[in-house]
Amino acid sequence: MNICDYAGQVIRKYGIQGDNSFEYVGVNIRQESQAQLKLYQKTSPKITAALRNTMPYCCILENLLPDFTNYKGIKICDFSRSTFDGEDSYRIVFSMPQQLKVQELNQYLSSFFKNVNFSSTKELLEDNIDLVCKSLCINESPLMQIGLETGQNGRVLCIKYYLRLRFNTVGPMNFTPNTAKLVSTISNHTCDENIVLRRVEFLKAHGFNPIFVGVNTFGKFQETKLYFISDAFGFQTKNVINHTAAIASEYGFSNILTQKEIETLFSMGLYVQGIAFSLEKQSEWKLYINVLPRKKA
Amino acid sequence: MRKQRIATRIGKISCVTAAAMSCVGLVGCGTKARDIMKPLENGSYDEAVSVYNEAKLSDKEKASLEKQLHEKLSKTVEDYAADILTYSDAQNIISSISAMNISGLNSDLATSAGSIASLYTSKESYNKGLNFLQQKEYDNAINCFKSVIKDDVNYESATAKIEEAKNLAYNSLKENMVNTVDSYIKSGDYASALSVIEAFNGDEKYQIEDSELDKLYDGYVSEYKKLILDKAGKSLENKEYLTALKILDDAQLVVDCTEFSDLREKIMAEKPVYLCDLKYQTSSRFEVKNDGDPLTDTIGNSYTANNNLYELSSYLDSWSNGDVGSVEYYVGYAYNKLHGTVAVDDTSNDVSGVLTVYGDDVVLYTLNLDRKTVPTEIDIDISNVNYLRITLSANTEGTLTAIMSDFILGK
Repeated sequence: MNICDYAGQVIRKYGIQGDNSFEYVGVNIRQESQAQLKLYQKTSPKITAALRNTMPYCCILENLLPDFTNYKGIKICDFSRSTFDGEDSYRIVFSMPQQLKVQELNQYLSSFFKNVNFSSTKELLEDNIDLVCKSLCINESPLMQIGLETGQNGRVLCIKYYLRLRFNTVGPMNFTPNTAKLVSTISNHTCDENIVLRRVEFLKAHGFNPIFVGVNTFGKFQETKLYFISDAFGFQTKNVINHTAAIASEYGFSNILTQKEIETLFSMGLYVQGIAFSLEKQSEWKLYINVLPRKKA
Repeated sequence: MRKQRIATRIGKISCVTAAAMSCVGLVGCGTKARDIMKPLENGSYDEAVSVYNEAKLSDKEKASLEKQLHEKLSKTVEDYAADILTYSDAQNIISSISAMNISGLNSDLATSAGSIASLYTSKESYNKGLNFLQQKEYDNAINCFKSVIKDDVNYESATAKIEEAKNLAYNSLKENMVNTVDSYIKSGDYASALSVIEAFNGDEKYQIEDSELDKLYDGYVSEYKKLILDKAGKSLENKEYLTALKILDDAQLVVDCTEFSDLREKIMAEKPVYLCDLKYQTSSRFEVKNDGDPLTDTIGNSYTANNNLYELSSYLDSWSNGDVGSVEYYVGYAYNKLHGTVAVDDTSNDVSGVLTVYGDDVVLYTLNLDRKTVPTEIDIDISNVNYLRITLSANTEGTLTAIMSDFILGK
């Protein structure tokens, strides 16, 4: 199914005319292959009876993370079925409390990793948090989300975490060569800092500002993505069509997201709000389609 | 094509000649040249060829015949040009003389055949031109009449018809233009009406002098000026200074006029200082609304985009640690009051937030906002303020957008 048909279908069912659970549509782009589409829906921030009914997996989660969800400020932001390496999986991601001090983070991480046997990931995560804090001179915890993906038997398949890079609340972050170096270090030096800088520059020129870095770790392997968010708001959104088309053309996915499709999405009140690219495989992109700021879809 | 037709004709004549030659002894040899010319003059073209073929001409007689045929060829072209001869008769004469195969006439024959062909095309163009004229296809008619050659008897008429077609074409274009202008004027769209008159190039295309056009244009310009000055004047009376300025600025783009700039100066002297008169130094998620659809607040009030209307937006979600809307102006201690109205844009989510006004980083005013907030007038003392900053931050997840309208700086 093409992107517009899918987006149109889910917005009718889950938009404000539907059950209002629409969050965004994710588009996974791998070079020379069809895009994979995924609907992200708003979810209950805590485990409730209603969630238990729709997600029988809740009990496994409660066994795996018995205390973590009770910590102050922890909210479920993604609880969905997924696939991991061709295997059906469950994904649960929590958002961390805002403006948490790094010193307060330890108890959260200890709780999260208590039953999750990924000690090397915990160490690496702590190193990365330390690295971000030192590199960007901040005391605030950069960990904005943490989660995991398990198989149906409850075995943990991977750990996911997202580290904030933007800490100012007004205007875009200043992405310097040092920030590129930081991102490269988080990715275990699998990417060229100059390429990252050039991409950031191009995306910024087209209205997308870097915001955080996302890490998926499974065994010895790691996938790292740099995320960008559109600065379009109000009537400025009129430029988003051309900007998005320019990005698709520059990075070779204009056959997957054509100018016409971008225009169709726009006419449906939708636009590409977020973009991420893989630091290990730079032809892999992820797009997040959301409702235009001034629209109600 | 023409040569082919002549050749065919010659072929036919040769057959007839061969048949005639079988009737030996029908023609005498005394007045031979005259005997050949006579049937040619009477339109008995085959007979003329047959008589020629049977006659045994002396050199003197041959020379005499050649001279007469030379004259006949010239006369044929003249008569066809003057519509005395039909094209068919002219063709037959040429073909008959050609069938006599007199080498001294070859050049004359070629010239005459060429002239007949040109005249044929010319007459055809003339007739087509008349048809196009009748069908009111004036440009096609003009092109056809222009193809009529001087030797053609229709040349003078064609020249006159060109002028006639030009006038008719121009009048038709002008009528369409005037109708379009009228419809714009009826809908009050003088700008479009005047640009249609300006863009009209019928007079240039058809090289026609038309003083009416200037009168038409000048007439509408003075109507437009009066209309704009009245409209802007009324806005000024109602103290709607920005509306009045916009009316004048838009009108100035249509007609450059000193009355507009004079009134503009008067308004500028009278109007208070608006926030949009200042230049902001930094901004994020902030827009000055000078065009586009009006904004609507959560109560249902509408706000026209008149420059002194602003949108400040804040955003909070799982991706963002809070995207605060912010704008900062240099006021340089020049004002003591800031007055305006703040409302919540209807596109906001069910989110609460706070609008804060800072003077040199000191909080001067805060206003809590959510979808239930009614438009709130704010009056803030900004004496001793160098930099004025207004921010909006959302406290809960979603987008909160504030409408700021009619912001005035008082001294």
